[in-house]
Amino acid sequence: MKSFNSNGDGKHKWTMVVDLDRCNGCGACTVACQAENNIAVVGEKLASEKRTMSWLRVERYFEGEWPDLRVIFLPMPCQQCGNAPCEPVCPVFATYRNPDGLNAMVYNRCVGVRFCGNNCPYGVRKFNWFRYKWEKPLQEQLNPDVSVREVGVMEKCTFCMQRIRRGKDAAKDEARDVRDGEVVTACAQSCPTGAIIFGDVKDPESRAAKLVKSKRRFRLLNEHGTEPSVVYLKGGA
Amino acid sequence: MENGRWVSRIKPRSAIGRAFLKGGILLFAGLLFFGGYFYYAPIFPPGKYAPQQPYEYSHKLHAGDLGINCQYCHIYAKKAEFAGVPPFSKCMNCHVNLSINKPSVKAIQKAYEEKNMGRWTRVYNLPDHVWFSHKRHVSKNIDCAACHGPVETLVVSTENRVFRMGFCVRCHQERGASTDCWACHT
Repeated sequence: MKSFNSNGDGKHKWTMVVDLDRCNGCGACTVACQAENNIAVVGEKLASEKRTMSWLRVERYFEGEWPDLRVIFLPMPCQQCGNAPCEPVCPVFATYRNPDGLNAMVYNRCVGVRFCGNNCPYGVRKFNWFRYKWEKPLQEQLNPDVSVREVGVMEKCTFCMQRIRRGKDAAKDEARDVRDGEVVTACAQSCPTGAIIFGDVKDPESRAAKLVKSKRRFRLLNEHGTEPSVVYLKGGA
Repeated sequence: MENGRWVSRIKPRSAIGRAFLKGGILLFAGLLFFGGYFYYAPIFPPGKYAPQQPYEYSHKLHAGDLGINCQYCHIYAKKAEFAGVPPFSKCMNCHVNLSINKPSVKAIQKAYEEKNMGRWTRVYNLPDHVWFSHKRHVSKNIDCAACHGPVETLVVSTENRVFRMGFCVRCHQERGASTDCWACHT
C-alpha cells in the first residue's frame, strides 16, 4: 500500500477522516452539504427514480437478524481518489487531479457524457438530468461562492473547495500557512458527534494527519487501487 | 414508406419544382441563421458596454483630471472580492463645499438628503462559475488599468475589455500564479 501522502504535488493534501464508531446516522452532514453547495432538492418523484442529487449520502448496513440487530452508518462523500477511475475516461478533461490532491470537477467544461459517473466505483457522481428550480425565496440562500450547475453537467463533492480557498485567502493575507482546523468542510462542521475530521495530512501536526496513522483505519474498495483521500476508522475503543 | 424504407414524401417531378424546393430550403436556413444572429447579438458591441446609470458621474474628471486614487472611492478593492460602489456620503466628503452649483452635483446632494442612491448597474460582469477576488490582485500591486484599461479617460463608464479566460490565464502564467482550474472555478 502506498503512503497516504503519495499523491498531489502541491503544498497541501486534504484528507477527510470519518470515525464510524462515532457516526450515529443523523444525516446532518447531508443537509449541511445540500445547503452549502447549492445542491438541488429534486423532490419525491425524481428521488424514487434514483435521481437524487446529494453529494454526501449516509449508507446503512445491517449486522445480524432482528432482534439482535446492529446498524452501521457510513457517510459516503466523493473519495477524492489518488488514482481516480473517473479521470481517464473524461473526453474533455473536465475532471482532473488538482495540485492539492483533490479530484477536481470543472462544470463549465463538462459536456455531460456521464462516463465518469459510470466508472466511479463509489457512485458519488450525480448528473443534472433536469434544470432544477429554486422557489422564489429559496434562491436567496444560494451560496455565492459556488456555481449553480446547469442541466447536463456532472457534479460531485468538492471537499468544500470554496472553504479551502477562503482559508488559503485568509492565510495569504497574514503571510502564513493554513492552520489546522481553519478549513472545515460543511459536513465536518455540522457533525454533532465530531465523526468527520477534515485536515491537511502534509501538516504533520494536524489532527487528520495523526488519525490517518491510526490502527483502526481502512479505506473503501482499496483493493481497486483507487487510493481514496477519505479514511474511515472502525472497530476500536 | 415504400419497400419498408424511409422515403421522402416531397418529390417534385420537374426540374423547376426541384429548384424551387432547394431554394426554399436555402432561404429557410438563411433566415434561421441571420435571424438567430440578430436575435442573440448584443446591443453593445464587445468592449463597449455602457449601461445607463442613475446619476451622472465622470471618471475622466475625478480620476483623470483631478487625479483621485481609485481606492479612495472603491475602498473594498483591497479588503474583499468586490471593489464596491462608494456611498454618497463619500461624494459628500468634497461636494459639501465643492462645485455645489453644478446641476449634477445638486442632484447627488438631493439624493444624499433623501437617502436614495438609485440602482447602479455593474459594468464588468463575470459569469457565475468564476470566482474572482479584487483583494488578491490589489495586494500584489497589480495596476487597476491592467484589467480595467484607461478608466481615467472615460466620461461615461464603459467596459474596456470583455473578460475571457485566456486573458486571465496569460497573466497568471506570466506571473507564475496558480493555473489550477479550481483556483477560479468551482
